[in-house]
Amino acid sequence: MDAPHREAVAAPWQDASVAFQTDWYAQPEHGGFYQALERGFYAEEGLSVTILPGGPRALVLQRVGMGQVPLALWRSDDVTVAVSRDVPLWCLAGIYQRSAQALMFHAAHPVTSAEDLQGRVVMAGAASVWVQLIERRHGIEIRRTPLTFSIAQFLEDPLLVQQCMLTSEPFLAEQAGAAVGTLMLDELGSEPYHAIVANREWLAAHPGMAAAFVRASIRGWKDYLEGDPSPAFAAIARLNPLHGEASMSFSRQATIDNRLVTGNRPGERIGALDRSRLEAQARMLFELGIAERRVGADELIAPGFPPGNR
Amino acid sequence: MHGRNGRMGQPSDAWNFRQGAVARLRARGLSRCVRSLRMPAPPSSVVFHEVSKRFDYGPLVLERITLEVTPGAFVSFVGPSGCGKSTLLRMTCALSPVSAGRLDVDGRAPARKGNQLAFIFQEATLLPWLTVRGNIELPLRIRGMAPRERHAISEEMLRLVRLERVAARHPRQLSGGMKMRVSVARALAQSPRLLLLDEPFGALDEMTRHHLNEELADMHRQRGWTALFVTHSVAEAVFLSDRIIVMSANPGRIHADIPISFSGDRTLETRDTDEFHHTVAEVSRILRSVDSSA
Amino acid sequence: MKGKSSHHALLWLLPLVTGVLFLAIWALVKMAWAFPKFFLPFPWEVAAAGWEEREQLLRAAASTMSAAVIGFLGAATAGGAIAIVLASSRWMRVAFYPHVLIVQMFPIVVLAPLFVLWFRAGIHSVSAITFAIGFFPVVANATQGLISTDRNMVDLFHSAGASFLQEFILLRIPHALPYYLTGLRISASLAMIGAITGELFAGSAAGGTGGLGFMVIVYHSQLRTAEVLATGFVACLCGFVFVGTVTALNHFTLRRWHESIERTDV
Repeated sequence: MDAPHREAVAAPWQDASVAFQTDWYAQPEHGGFYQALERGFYAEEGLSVTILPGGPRALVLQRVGMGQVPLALWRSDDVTVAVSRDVPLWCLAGIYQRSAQALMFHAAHPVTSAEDLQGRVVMAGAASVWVQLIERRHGIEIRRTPLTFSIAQFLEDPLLVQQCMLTSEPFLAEQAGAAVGTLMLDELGSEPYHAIVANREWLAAHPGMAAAFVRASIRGWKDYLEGDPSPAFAAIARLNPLHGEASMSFSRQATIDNRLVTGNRPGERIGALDRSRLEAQARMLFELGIAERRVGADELIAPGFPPGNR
Repeated sequence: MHGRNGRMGQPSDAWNFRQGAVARLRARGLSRCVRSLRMPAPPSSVVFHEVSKRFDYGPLVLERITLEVTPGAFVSFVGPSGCGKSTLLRMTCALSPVSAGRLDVDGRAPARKGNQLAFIFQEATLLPWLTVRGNIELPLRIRGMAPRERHAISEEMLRLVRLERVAARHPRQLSGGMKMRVSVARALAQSPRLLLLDEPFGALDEMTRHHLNEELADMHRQRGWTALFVTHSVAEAVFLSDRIIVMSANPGRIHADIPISFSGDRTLETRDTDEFHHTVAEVSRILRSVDSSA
Repeated sequence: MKGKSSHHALLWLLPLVTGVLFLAIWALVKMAWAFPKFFLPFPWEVAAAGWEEREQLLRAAASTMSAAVIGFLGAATAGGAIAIVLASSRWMRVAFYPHVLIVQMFPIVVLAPLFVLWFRAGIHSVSAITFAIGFFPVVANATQGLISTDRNMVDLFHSAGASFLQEFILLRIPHALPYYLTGLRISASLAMIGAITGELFAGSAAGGTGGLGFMVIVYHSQLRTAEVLATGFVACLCGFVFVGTVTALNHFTLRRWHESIERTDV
């Protein structure tokens, strides 16, 4: 298992080990990180990284907030809410410039705008903030039904709209013979980053390691998207046998095609964090009563991060 | 073998007395009072002819029991554990089938439905959710009697066992002796011709036991049913019975058949007499000889 | 007289004192370790959060309680019916009891999402999950009660010529009643847990009527731990009301004749 990782080079920090908590089971949506790990980019920076897969009940932000794990991948809107409650977190870099979260519908009953959602039954996770966000912003009412992490109910019900990852469920649905379409959530106004999040105390003590981790991760993502992704695929398949070659290739291609990681607006690139965008989101969350107070960009973006920014 | 009055196969004096009373009342046109006298039917005869009992291909529990019980007689069964005394009783009311031989109650095979007997168990076996009255009326209810009739009978029974004041209580509020009296009342409420008693007083203290013995003897004098009584106490058997059957075990057989008679009615004082002590000693001796020969 | 009233006072005072003690320890632990609010709030912060959210929590509690009641009533009736079937003969038990056990053993975390798939989300799925969690104690206890009738009592009925139906209705069912009620008490204590677990899988929030389980997920995602604890205490309270009602039913039904109820008379 350790064969592909090269030995950590001599580095100025005492303990090179770093744990990185992702937001779900091992999946191609985390490809860049596994690429960095398998291709030894972390090791070249002098880091010994362990990637911890998440899951449906993992309380990731709580763990990072308590310092039980120093780094994680999480949505910036949830981080904003946490910071508004004085949870000691920093965003270090925006890995996904566009969240892959989307709504999947049957092609026969399309959803092209928020108004199309009025009165439709939408399968969304209980923890989803975007439902309230979109309801309020567009003045509509959504009939929510719980997310089951399977497409079985979707396949049965032609009118159902399901929250999904653009890179995953549509592929499975098409494989099952359904004709589907998707609508990205960011087109409806929910625009969080998927960011690398750090515990503040840990960052203060290990700024060098944090920067090294972000650099190597970005490098891993570039390599994953532009180069040969097979090291990452192999690692993911080992950890999560659900993913086969076909689904992982689809996911990677969808990520490239939709410019999820690299961004499709001027000024966006892997790792960037735009201040005004974060502040706009923070204001909306406060006005919705989800965040305790208005959080400024200076409270979200760690000083000196993303590395090489602006 | 002698019945209580030295006559075999004949109803007891008690019954005859009541027949006469009924005739006199009827003559005066007071048939209504007849019903309230609750004329008991004549006591049952029980005949065992070569009766054997085996449980499920196991060893013989009872072997070729032959016994003729005079109507109105009070017969006790004593013997070591496992001699099948209880089984005899259970067969008589069809709770247990006969394996071989013939058992007749009033010339017919034992039956569960439509019989005219009552069983008094080792424990009072009262239904805890029913009141005392409810318990007494229970078998009547099962046999399909109307509520008003049931009530009249339970009234009478409560008076008989002197428990009128606790009629509305539940069994858990009663002492052991009182529960047993309810059990007896419940049995007698059914106007049985045959009474089967399986060590009914075993769990009671001695004083209560003696009192209940005396009351039972008294009731038997008044009502005259045939009784088959199983007990471990020789003194109790001697006090109550006309006849004691001593049994041996493995397999159960009749070892001895002892007639008992005392001068005068059986009361608490009877237990102090020399005659009583002598009889108890004799029966005990016979019982001991069973134990040693087994 | 004086002794009796101080005895009564103690019944209230003692648990109150220990309760306050526990809250004090809680607060001290929090202060000593300097836990942040999202990890462990102060007891009064939990109370404040509960008060702030009282409207939401009351609605959620009503939703959860409804599902719990429906599931519980289902368990009470179906459980009783299954018990009667099982008790009717030994061969019935041989034939069906193993399958009852299999249903009982089947993990609820597997069953719950299947219910949601088959029956769609909503109160009916939550009730079905509650039922699945709560029916077995009723079946097991009621069956035990129906078949454990005293041998002598059965003989009493037989010697009086009782029919099978008479024996069942006049003897076995009253005898089984305390056992059945015990099963109900156990099932009642599981009902709230069952409903909340069900809501974790099947809680639907069309128009904000998700139950307490749903609220827990929402609060956790927003790191509102004080609200999470407040929800827990509300669920606790609901549980007490539930079990209390069933226990009261138990008491009133049995108090006159069952030895389990303490006698205050003779």
